[in-house]
Amino acid sequence: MNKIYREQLDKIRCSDSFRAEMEEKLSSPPEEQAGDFVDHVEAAPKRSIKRFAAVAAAAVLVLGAGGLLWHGITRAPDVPGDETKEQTQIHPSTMDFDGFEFTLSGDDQSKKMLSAEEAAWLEEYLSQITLVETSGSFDFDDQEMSFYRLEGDLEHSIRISGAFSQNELYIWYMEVSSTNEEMISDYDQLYLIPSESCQVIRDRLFGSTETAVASAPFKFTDMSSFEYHDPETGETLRHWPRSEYICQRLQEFFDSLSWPDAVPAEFSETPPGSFVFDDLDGKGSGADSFVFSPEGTLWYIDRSGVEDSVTMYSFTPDDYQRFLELYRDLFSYSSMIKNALFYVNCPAAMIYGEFGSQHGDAVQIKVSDTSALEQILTAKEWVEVDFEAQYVGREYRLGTMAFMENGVIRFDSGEMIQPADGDSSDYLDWLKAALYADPLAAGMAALLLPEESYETMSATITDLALELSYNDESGLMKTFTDKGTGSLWLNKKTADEYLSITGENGFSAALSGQDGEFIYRRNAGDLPLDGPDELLTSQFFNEQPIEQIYGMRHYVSDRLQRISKQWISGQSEVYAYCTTSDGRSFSTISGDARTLVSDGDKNAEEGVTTVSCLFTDVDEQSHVLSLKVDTKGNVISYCEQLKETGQVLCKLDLSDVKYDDQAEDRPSY
Amino acid sequence: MDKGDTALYAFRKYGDTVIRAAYAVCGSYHEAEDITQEVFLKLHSSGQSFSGDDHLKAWLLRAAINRAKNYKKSFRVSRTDFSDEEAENVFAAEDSHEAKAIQEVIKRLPERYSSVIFLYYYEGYNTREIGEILGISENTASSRLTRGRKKLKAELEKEGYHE
Repeated sequence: MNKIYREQLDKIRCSDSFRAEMEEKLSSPPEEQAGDFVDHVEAAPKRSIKRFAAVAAAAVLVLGAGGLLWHGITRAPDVPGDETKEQTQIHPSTMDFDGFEFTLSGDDQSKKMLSAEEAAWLEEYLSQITLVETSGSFDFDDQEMSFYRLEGDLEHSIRISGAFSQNELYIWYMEVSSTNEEMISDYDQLYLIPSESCQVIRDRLFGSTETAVASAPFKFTDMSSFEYHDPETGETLRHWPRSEYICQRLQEFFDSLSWPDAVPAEFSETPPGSFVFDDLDGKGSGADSFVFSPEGTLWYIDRSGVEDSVTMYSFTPDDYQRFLELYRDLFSYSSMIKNALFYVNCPAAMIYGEFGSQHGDAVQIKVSDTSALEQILTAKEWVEVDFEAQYVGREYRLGTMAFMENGVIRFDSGEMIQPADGDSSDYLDWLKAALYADPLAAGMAALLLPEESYETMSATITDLALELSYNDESGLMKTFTDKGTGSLWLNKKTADEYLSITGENGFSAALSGQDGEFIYRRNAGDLPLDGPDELLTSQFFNEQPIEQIYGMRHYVSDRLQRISKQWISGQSEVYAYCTTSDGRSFSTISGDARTLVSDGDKNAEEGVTTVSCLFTDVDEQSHVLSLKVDTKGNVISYCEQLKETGQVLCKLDLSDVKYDDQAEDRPSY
Repeated sequence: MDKGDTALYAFRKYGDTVIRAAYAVCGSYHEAEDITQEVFLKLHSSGQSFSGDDHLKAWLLRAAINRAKNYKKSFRVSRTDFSDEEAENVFAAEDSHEAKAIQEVIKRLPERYSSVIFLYYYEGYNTREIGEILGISENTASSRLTRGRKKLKAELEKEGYHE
């Protein structure tokens, strides 16, 4: 793996043309190439048509076909006198913002389509403020809001996107013809905007935000790190709290101070006990920072210009002490837990597999109130856990932390803790209760949680046709078909069967064999369906994935017995030598599968057992046959391997499954 | 060396290193070129001085990786799903299934893992050095490396690649 990883990256090198271009730029004095640097989006016109064709295709999915209704876009001749070649120009003060989607930076939940009223307000507002065209590059690190709209059809599409930062507005326009493999126009422009205007637009479109600066002259929105110069040990403790929660608490603290007027100052040395906050806006370039000393002096250093600019604010030692208390609290385990739960803004918990990678499917449940969990967790004493020693597989995720089944909590930042007294039962119980409070999620969990009580069938179920009946909203019973493949689970204790299916049309389903519970969901809303697309797709657009299907029952033993008979009839003339998983062996030449494992008094003691048989067929080919057999000898599934080729064929024919809600109760084993 | 010389020297010596680091994190050759350009022009205009080549290389890697991470966060990547024609030119059509699997997985690997995996497996840094370059603790670098390795393996297996 490592070798091939390195081999692939070895191929990544600067192209000759790129190398030549860069050498030329770097050979010029910095001042002369500054324009080239800042205008790095100049690269956009070189992008290939294939890229834009992908956008065009996306446009069809998102918006469907439509006319091209752009306002504020004009085409000017690209070359003086050449009327046939045009270049698009945009001016935001005359743009039509109807139908644009706006998103607050770093918050996908904030995504919203502008209403007609909001669009009209924005158009009016932009027409009134001063917009100055500039040749700089837009720094996406600083973006506060982004927006975009796609329009057109597969042959001809337009995409307009852009973003606001505190002082800039960036717009990028593309017009693409897929039919002619041609990019008709690609144009971007950066504007300087008044410093308050971005906030005005944010507040109007998204409401006032808590992160707005009240009085501190800086923001902690994406601070990369800060230091504490511990006066007792002389050490410098560096923290990388890439956390909205911590940034918010820091912002609240500094906004709560009574800010005096700034005084121009010089800064030479960091006093012991000081806090140093670097790179407040997350640029990675250390553009601004401040130092807060035990005497209450705060130096703010702006490094964005040619020379550092330092201003000083005088607070009190009491202000510093309050901050020191906040600092200690922020890095307590209790605060880390609050921090992690802070991110449950779209409440959900999922069950994942090892190391955060999804284990087959995942169960997602709604958790509307985590305050009880927070109380349980913050009341405990915690100790740190060694990563390698304690990590185990499956985990519940909530916010930015994961709860392992052994009670260890792992934060996304990498820290791992466990209760000092070792008792994790209360919060694990809370999580399980939350999971099973949702009956449909519980059904899915039964399929996914399992190894202890469920046996995984080795069979892969192919060409499974599900004929499903359901009640639509009008109360009418409808039927449709979906096809898929899946796997089978069997509860060893109760012999209840569960079936998990994934379909070619993007559905997944969970089927319980005991009482006919059926959970069915579609993973995408834009897939063609044979059946009730209007009902199921609407569920999936809202990510409310689970739809109860009524009138479903199937009976396991009938089917399994039929399969058993099919197999037996197919192999009735073949001599086989068989061994069971618990070490018994016997020979058979034909007969009933029950005889196969019920040789005299040698019944399997409980649950499912595996039988492997070696036989040679009439064409002299050797086969290994693996069977899953229940306590009574019913064959549940079987896999057949050709010895010569190693080819494995597993079968579980469900074509004769009975769906009948009037049928009598399922026979017991 | 004056400022211009530093940047030119750095590009000649570490240009491939930087574009590779950017690609390993953002998964797009085209964006990796843009990022490389940004990094060296930033160096060219900043007048930053370095104590030696190791310091210079570490600075370049951090700058490239940070920009690649920001690229993944920016609306450019969240709004578009471009094919990477340049990468198609770089990677041969006759690449093995395993090679293609790696290329796909590099694109999908979360940035927190891709950066440490690159620095560890390709550049040969240890976790302490990775921590210094990325501005994370050694412990975090170590955790991410362990998880990233498993994630990489799992993703490769999904693509049908088995060691």
